[in-house]
Amino acid sequence: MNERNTRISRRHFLKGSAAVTTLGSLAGCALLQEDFGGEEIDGIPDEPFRIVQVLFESGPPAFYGEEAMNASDMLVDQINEDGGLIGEREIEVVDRLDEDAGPDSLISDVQAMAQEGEVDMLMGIISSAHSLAVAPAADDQQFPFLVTMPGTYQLFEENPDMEYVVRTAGTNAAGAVGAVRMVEQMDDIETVVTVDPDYAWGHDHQEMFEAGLEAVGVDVEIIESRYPELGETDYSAHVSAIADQEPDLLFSSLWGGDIATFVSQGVDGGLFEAVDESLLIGDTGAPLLNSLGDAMPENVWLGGRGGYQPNYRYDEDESHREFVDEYYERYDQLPGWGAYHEWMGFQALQEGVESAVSIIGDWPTGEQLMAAMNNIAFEAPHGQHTMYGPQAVAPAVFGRPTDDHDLPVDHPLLGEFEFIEATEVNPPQDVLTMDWVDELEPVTG
Amino acid sequence: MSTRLPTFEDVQIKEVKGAILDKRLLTGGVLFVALALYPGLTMNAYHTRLLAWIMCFAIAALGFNVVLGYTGLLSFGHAAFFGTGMYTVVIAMQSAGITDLIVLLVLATLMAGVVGAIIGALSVKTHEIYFALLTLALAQLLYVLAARDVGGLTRGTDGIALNRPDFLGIPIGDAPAHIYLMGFYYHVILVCLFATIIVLWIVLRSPFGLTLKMIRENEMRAEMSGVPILRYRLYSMILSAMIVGLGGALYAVVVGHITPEYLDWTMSGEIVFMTLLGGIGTFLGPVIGAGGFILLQEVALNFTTYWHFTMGLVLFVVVLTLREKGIWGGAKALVDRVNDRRDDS
Repeated sequence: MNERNTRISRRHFLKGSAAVTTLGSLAGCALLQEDFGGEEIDGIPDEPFRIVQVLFESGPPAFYGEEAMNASDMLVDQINEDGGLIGEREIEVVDRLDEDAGPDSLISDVQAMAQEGEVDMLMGIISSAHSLAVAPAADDQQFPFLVTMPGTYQLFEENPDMEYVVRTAGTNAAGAVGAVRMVEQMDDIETVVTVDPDYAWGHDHQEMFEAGLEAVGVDVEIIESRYPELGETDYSAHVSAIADQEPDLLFSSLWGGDIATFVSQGVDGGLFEAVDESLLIGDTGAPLLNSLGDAMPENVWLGGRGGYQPNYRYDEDESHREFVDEYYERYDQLPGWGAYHEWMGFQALQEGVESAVSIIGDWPTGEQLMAAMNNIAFEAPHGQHTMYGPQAVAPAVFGRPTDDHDLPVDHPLLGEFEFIEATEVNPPQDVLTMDWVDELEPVTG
Repeated sequence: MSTRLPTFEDVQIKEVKGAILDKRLLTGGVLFVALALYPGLTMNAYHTRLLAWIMCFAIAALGFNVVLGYTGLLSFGHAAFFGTGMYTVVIAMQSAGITDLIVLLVLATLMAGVVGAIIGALSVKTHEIYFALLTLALAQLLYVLAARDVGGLTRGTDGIALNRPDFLGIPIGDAPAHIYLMGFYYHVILVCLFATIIVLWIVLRSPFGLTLKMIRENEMRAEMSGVPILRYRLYSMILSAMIVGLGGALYAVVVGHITPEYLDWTMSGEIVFMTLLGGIGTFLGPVIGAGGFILLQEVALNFTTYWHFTMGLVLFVVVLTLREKGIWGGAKALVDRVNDRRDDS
């Protein structure tokens, strides 16, 4: 594990640099704030900045939507307490669209909003498939759309010319390639079984993971790939089959209620005794640990595309601590991935407005605002959250379940964090994800 | 015993001529002109899109009613035809490089007809619940093929985006989205809807349509009269599939992004819902049902998060109170009753 120690120390160094950059950025923001205080900004509309959110309010993924709704209510209140965007214009969430209505209805609503001109921005969306349908439609209507949650790498690769869309969530490459990076560091892994949901998210992850492993040249074999249905309730057949194979590693991008059910049934079926290690990368962390409680096995790595774990850099990062504390105080639970994704979205909005106003000296149009959200960086639990053009690049963060934490919940959280830098798990700008994964270079310590 | 079967040639010319003077046709003409002028007069892109959406599903529901209302077969697999229409357009554009709208619509309609023939051939021997389940199962096979991205054509559940087609060599697809819809594509859908109504009106009043009704009313009697029931059921499935496929093909361009959800049984359920809502026992009921369903969904979504419940409640009330007449048949009955009372007084 010498190589691993070397890498971790390098990551500590990177975290240090990220912190320095963050401070620099904050100082810059503070200067901007001072500028706004000294000058009168022209053209700030009298009415609040009106946002319509789109997320699942019904159906199986609604828990993800609920976290996002909670976080946005909290963040809007916080921003408005400080006077609103750039301290001058309050935010109002004027409506929420239920994603369960499907893309037909969502696209129609986008058209209505663009037509009526009474909404400034659409924000949110959970499903990757929905984002692929709604984002180009919003762009067609020249209607600003801040995409906060879906992970499909195809969003901007299929629609490279969108000017009214930005996405503050990292793509699913970060999770899948992050898992490859983790395997690179592991000793004694020769056989792997993958289990992923049977739709594009799961297939994308599996393909990237397999192609990445092959490209970096680690000597492991994927002996079986299983694809349970999305929303599966009985994983017993999968659990038995995987346990029989006794692979060295279990890889999974199951998420939400699916991963909770799978792990729970896996524990009952002795799955985690049959495998040496597991990498559960489907936006896993606090929500899963909350639902599993003490039943959570210890030989697993949880995480994915971002450091969205309540106790990750909790002590070091004041803004993260405030976010977690405030969320816990309001909702009596720790924030999950939906909440963190919304937080990133609101940070991008604030930063984008500040940036646009500082450049043009006036309140930005929708197009100017979205352009201003390109190529910016802002603070996140994992350090700087950087936008490559309109797309965020997130690092991968994984951790082990542990009861050794100071947060006021009686379930395990993560510890022994592994941080993998964004540039190691995302393609360079303007390079297609799968092309990059196919040529992935091994990380050398 | 003569086994000669009625054909389209037996359509009574006089009947058609008489119909031209029919006030219903006049109303239809006025409605067509009003709808055609609507986008230009209001310049409301949202309403235009909503109308385009409704009209595409109205075509699909009309097509579905050929099987349900006229032949008496409840299919839960019509999403297969709708989705086939959609995927044919996008695959023909992306893989074969066909960009002309007319060619795409014809191709999609024919392809849906082929799928209708296959599913029909495999299912028309069954009845009632078995027919419903068999069509559902066969349609789900297509859903799985699309969701699994078999052949690498559909891009799985993430779906596949399509560009706007051109028209007769004119590169109108390059126009901005709202101009394309309001100035051109909406009118294409409108023409297709009215053409579908006219064609179906003629076909279903022809001996062919009357034969379908005969099968629906009394299968044994039809069989005893020498009607090859299975063949006629198959014909009705093909006709129905082609019209539903046309609706899907038209809708593909409106929505701009195709996912396997359009092949799923829930989409079949929506088409059944629309048809039931409008009234399966009426010719124009499905059109009203499509409009009612989509408007109801839009209104319910705006006012409550319990929109699924609201939709279910409305269907429950409509089916319970109006039965096969649906909204359209119920409204007609109401008008007749009011007229009767006026005459009495």
